[in-house]
Amino acid sequence: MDNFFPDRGKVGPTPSMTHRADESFLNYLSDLRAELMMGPSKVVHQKANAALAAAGVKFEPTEESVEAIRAVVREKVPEAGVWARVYRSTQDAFWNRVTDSYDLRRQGFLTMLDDSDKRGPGSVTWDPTYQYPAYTAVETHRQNQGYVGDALSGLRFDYGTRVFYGAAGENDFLHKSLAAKVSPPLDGKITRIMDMACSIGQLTCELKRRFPDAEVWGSDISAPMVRYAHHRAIEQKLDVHFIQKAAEDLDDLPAGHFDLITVFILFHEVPLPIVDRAIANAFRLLRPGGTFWISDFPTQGAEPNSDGLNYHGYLAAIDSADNSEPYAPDFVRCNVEERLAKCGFRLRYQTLADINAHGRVCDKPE
Amino acid sequence: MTDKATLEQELAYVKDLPGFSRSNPQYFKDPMIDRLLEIVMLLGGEFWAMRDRLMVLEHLLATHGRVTPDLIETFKPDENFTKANADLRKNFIHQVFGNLYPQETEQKGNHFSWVTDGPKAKG
Repeated sequence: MDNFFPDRGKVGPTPSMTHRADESFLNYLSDLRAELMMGPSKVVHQKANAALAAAGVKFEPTEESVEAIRAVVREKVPEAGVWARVYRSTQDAFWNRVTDSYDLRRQGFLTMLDDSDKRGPGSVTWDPTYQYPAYTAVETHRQNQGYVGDALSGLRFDYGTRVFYGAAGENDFLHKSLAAKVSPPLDGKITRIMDMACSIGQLTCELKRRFPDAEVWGSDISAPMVRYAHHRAIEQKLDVHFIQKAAEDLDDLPAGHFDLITVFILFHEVPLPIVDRAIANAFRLLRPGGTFWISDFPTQGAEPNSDGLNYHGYLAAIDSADNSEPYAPDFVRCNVEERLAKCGFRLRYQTLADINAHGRVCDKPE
Repeated sequence: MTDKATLEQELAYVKDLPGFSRSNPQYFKDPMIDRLLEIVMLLGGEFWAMRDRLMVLEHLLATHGRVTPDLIETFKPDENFTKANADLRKNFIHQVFGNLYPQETEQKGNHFSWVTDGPKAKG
């Protein structure tokens, strides 16, 4: 890869950090988050929400509302301040460390992506002159330069989400389990699959493993994501096709082309007008009898409560404002099932179990 | 108006949403506590990285009788080493940060089970 540094190989399918010290630091952050952030979250959120209720402060997706919530916590619930500080500081720390570590080998990775662009199996199509819409200028989850802002965004996303997911991030375990949950069309016929907003193609590749005879496509607005997705698929010797396409901009793909379209945690990361256009595109691209499989936050209407992901009150305020999730509150407050039905889909099944198992399975009527 | 222009107009509101731009939040009455807690967490990570390196160094000396920076960097631990290392790391974190929350903040459940319930948790 780069003559200055010894080849440390991979961690599962992901290139290792440049130095062992970076890997040790990130393992520490992962465990620190489990101990101080994930473990106490339920109790801390309940206390914070009780204090907010007592103070008559309610979360609305505005800067003023979020600052009012921080003010109540500063005054009344120091442990909720600890939780938020751990969340924010560790989130920044792991993205910074991943970015700095990979950047030491930047030229080598850029060459690797250039080489992979020209190789198979599978393919990647992207546009170096693409103008990203303004809504993508978010450093989602605090990832440095976001999903679209750096040629190595896909690579950073890969290692960063390993830290974020902890054990579930090892060897694409989460995406393997998701692929196993995907429901095929009722007639069982699958010739072509599209994984919409596929990021680095983890679910896309697992779909290819599950449906090896199908032609499998992954689309994403981010060139760095689809380029790295293609590289990752090559490394796994999987014949998958990736294209740089926004979910709201799939007009040049033929209608009725796909039997199954999947979309995993896109909808809470984009504004609602994009959600609506993505749903309309999925409807157009599916053949009659085709299936749209969605996994994302539960939507709870205008008064989010304690069901599902508990994405309301203190968690929603801190996560949206301080973990750069600006679009999640609007999504949670909408009714996505209604939006799907309005577009023509027939809801076959849904589960409220939790975010990553929250499958909504819709069929395009025959 | 093209759909692209219509969409741009529809999305003009997003730049005002909390989280669209980087925030610099303060969670404690004294902002110095925010900074110090962050510094302590980062120092803990640097301390752990050194401790981990020491473990690798001792292991290499015990098993190979010599050590070089490249041998440390490319060291591939076996299962026993990985488990001992992870146990020590978790214990270190618990010892250093175990009293950060009030005692009544027991770990009775979490809102991140979708993150934490990985392959190990599922057996």
